Amino acid sequence: MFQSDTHLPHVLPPAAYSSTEQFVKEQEDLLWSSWHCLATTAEFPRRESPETFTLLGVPLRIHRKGTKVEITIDETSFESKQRSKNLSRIVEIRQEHVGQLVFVSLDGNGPSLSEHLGGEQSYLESLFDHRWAPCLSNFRELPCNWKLLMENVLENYHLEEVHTSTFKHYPPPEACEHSMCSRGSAYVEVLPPSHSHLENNAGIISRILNVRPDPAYRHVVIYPNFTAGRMGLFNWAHSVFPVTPEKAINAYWFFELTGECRGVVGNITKLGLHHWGRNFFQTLLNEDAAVLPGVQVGMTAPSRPNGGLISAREERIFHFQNHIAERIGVPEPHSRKELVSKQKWSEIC
Amino acid sequence: MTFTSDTHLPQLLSAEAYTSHDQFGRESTSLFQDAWHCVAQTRDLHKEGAFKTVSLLGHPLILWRTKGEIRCYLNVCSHRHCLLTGKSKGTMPLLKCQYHGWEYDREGDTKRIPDARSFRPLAPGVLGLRQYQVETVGQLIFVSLSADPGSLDEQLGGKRSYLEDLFSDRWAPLLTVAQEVNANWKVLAENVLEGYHLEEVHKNTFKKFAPADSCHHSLADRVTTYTEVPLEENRRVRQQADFFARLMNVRANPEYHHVFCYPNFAASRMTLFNWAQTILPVAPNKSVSYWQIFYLRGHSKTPWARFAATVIRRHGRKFFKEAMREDGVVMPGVQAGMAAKEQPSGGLISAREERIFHFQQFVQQHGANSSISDRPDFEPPVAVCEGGCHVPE
Repeated sequence: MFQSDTHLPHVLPPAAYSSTEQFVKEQEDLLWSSWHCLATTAEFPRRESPETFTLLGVPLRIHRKGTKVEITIDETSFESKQRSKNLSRIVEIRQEHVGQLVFVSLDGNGPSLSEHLGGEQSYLESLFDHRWAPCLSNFRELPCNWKLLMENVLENYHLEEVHTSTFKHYPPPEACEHSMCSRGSAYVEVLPPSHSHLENNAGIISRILNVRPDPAYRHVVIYPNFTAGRMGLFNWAHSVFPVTPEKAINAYWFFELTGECRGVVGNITKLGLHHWGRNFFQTLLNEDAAVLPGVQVGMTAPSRPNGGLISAREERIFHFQNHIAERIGVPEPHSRKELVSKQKWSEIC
Repeated sequence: MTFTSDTHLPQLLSAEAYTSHDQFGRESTSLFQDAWHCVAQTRDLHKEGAFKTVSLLGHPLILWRTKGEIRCYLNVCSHRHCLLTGKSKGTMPLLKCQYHGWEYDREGDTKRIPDARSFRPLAPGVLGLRQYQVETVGQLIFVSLSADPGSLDEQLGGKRSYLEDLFSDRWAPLLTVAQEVNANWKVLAENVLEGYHLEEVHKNTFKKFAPADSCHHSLADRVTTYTEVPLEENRRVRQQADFFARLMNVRANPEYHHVFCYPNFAASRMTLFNWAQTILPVAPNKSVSYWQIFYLRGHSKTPWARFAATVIRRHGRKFFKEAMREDGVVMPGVQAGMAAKEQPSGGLISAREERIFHFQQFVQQHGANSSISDRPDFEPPVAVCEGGCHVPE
């Protein structure tokens, strides 16, 4: 069941999703000191040529060095000259691996990765260890504030309307469990065996591959911008990178369980699973991408409808918004007085 | 027939009025917020449940036909503020949000909330769509963003019945275009308030402006009109129009008539065609001109009438697209000139362009003025000169 037994208010006003001032504050006070999952080692098997990526205005170069993936400032980039303000702030670029995930921090004086991930580090180590093979990676820029992309994955309420070809339904409240802490939140979904077509197929594939997937769906978010999920034979890591107040990059890395079975049947099964997974997750991302720009447009409209509220099913959004409001504050016209205070949140919990 | 003024007139609005953010904000509030705006036509919503989405001054709106009536709501869900739909048109028995499936009835109240128990406690009437007022004039649909707008009749300055007739069912839709132009909305408005640019800009379409003695201006409080009697030199074109009109069993009016209702609506009639134009500001230097062009629907169903209608439609589409293109090429240049750091000496309006002077007076009088006389370097215009000032050819 959910922690709250009532609906909740929006803590962040619409201006928080479009204001340049808020965006700058978020970058400087929230995202700069954070760790960002930027790549996976599997993406750079033997690749000679490096990839480039601009993180918070800093152009980075990602390339393989020995057994590790290394991230450095891309000095040659034209942008590096333009963004000298952010570059001058960099004392040291820190990087660490968690399983196959490569994390980077631009703030040499910020918290360590283990401090950032808290108790989830060992879980993530096992979730992205060598048993998992890459299935699909996808970087997509969307015309949305970065918080909307985060809020979208913090609730399953939209599954029936948006993911009509993939997830299709959201589970009943009894099958959902939310847990929240200062660093983020988690969602676990345990459904009783339904013996559905999909479940039976997953069982057969698991037996062929000689693997035992966890039947529970689990999703964690580490504030401000990293999430990871596990679902049967697949798992994924997800980062959101702000670009402008109304533009952000949704980065996903999907993995599939490799198993130990060899031979023709094993290889065909692996291939089938790989293709099914790619197709499923690509469709999933397309479904989200079709709706999310509409949320940004609605959010930034000059007029508002009546209401505006968050259901108990979406309470992780409320927790996320509170986290932002407490760290950054909220833009006018909302004042701190209008915020649901920490005290009230603990009452709800 | 001739112009109302027999002298040139001064520019009333300064160049800043066409570029300044402050002026843009003032105009948005004082001229547009309470006004009615023509944003669609009834044909867009002819089926029960049909909807059309439009953006009016940044407000995403959804027009929806329900139980035979056209309603307009803010296209934003009251749950998480997503657009109800991102589609430009379609059909919905109830308005449904694309994100979480909330449904709204014809009053804009929530009809169905999926997993409603997660939203307890919910007081009735707290959630709902924001509704806007709608009126129709012939086939044209007008919307106001104000909860208490002024009267549409008043805004149309006594031209409502004329417009009802002009956009009646006798006219069939030909072309609808939302033309985005990198120019202030007043540049677009002033462009259609004068025929002086025809010879230079509309070389492939209108080609020439009419001599002064065949033009007639009438300038009322909120409306100006321009009437042009048929010119002898256009006789060939008129004969062709008459020929096609006879085939279609209709009567083409040979007079050209143009009405501009302040602040941003224009309508015009030209032989077998008429059109409505709504000018919507987007930014100080960006506007959208929303054109709805119609042609005279014939009574006859003969093969000749069908052939004539096809020719008329084809010619009309080609003509109006070209005319829009011609204007679209020049207007950004006008805006760039307005935004230039230095302005040339002078700046004046001819008697032929006197409707612009009248329009600028309206903008000034309605509290949205950034007057040229506010400028430190302003010098009053030369006294009215009998017999003609020195105006360069």
